Amino acid sequence: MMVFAITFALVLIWFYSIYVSLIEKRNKALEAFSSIDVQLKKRYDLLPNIVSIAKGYMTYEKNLFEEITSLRTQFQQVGTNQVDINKKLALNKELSNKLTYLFATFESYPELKSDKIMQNTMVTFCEVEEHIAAARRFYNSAVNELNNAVQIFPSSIIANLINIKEFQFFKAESFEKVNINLKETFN
Amino acid sequence: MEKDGRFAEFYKTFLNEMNPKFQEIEGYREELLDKYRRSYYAFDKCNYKRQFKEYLKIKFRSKLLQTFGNISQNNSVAQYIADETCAKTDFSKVPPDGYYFDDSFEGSYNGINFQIAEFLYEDENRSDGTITTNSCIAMLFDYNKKITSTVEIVSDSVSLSLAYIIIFSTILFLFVIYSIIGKVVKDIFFLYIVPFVLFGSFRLISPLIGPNLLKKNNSVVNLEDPKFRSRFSVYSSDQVEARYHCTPAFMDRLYNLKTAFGARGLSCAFFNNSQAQPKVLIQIYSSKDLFELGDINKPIYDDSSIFAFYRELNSIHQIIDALKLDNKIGL
Repeated sequence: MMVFAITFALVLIWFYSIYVSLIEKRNKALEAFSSIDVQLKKRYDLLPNIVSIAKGYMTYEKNLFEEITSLRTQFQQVGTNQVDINKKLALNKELSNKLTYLFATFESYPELKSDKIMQNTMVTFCEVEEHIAAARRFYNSAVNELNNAVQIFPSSIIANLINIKEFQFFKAESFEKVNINLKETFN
Repeated sequence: MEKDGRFAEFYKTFLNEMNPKFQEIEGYREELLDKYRRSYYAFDKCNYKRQFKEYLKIKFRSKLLQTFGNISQNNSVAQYIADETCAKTDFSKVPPDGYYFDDSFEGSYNGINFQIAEFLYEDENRSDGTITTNSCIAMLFDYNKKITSTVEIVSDSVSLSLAYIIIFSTILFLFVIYSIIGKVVKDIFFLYIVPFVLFGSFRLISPLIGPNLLKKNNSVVNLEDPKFRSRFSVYSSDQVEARYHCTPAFMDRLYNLKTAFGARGLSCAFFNNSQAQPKVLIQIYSSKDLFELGDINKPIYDDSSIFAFYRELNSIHQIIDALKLDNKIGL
């Protein structure tokens, strides 16, 4: 009887430790998710500065500025849960595309390139881009840990019981893999 | 590294400085060499070697440093580094336990200010009486990126030795407790088997629990590069910040740095100093006494030791170049 009780207690402790570990891993993935959101917000907060300075020099790019402003407005209207984050990431992809084009056109405006405020804004923008990259890496690392636990026996059984699902990895789109070299643009 | 034109100029400065005092220096070297050969104890031999090196340091080093670039000797630098890092870093202790101060410099390169201090630790081999010198070079550099929380990178040889100390002292404590219990219960299991199993598993469990044992208030950061992860452990309270500093390119550069220097251990810390300026501390553990001039066994005009000194100074610039510390973007 005593042996049975000890075995039962050990199984319970083992079950509970796997349960705790799964919850911790899921929360870490969610935390990583929200850190991407925080960095994206920083990026969008910088956009009005870039657009307002660039507008002064780039008189023929009115449509592009309107599109960027519209994307920013859409971003602000989206929430912060997991589904909404995917929407935000989709908007972000579109915005990256527009920004790549915008930064490429800076080449034709030497006065804009030498504007001190613009230079400082772009340096900050670069830092935010690097933070976004770091947040994505944190997210992928957290998702990798969670997915391993969800897929590998015996934690896979407990994950099924408490309905913890795999998360999707963050993958860069092909156009995002092309680096925006702001440093060279502003040198 | 090849002997280039810059080294030729460096060596020329040394010869110009040395020529008027050549007889005096060579005479002093021969006198010490004679004592060195006649001495029986390794410790005495070591002292004569050190005495000659100190003599050359006083005579030539500051002039040679001026020729090299914007770098100078400053003995207060070691204390400065120790003060700046104290309470800011968990693993990069300056100076490491048991090490004593030897050399220190300060200077700048490509707009990056740096402070360097060398600490030594001498270990006598009891079987053959030889003395091996281990050094730790603590280098503090300016850093161009903003830092919001401390990030520390420790090579596994450093983290493991720290882990060994903690685990060993824990096991020793348990051993004492078991011995006391064993005396009371007179049980062979308590007295011998349990400590034996604990000691046996010591080497096995250290690499597994080492990084977690040392993390204190920081959490372990699992970076994606398996090659880097096999050699280094990263700790930070902010997972995003850690990845912001440890980009894939930086990981690759730090890994290569350890290999290029043949370092026994390496640690790196990103932190804000007392004036809230971002700094990077790099500590390299080597089995050589660095930044020395001359060798008691060789004539003073022999350029090999001068070249070694030149190469070691150049390596400071190489670290700044290799880690791209002068770049604000895309480290």
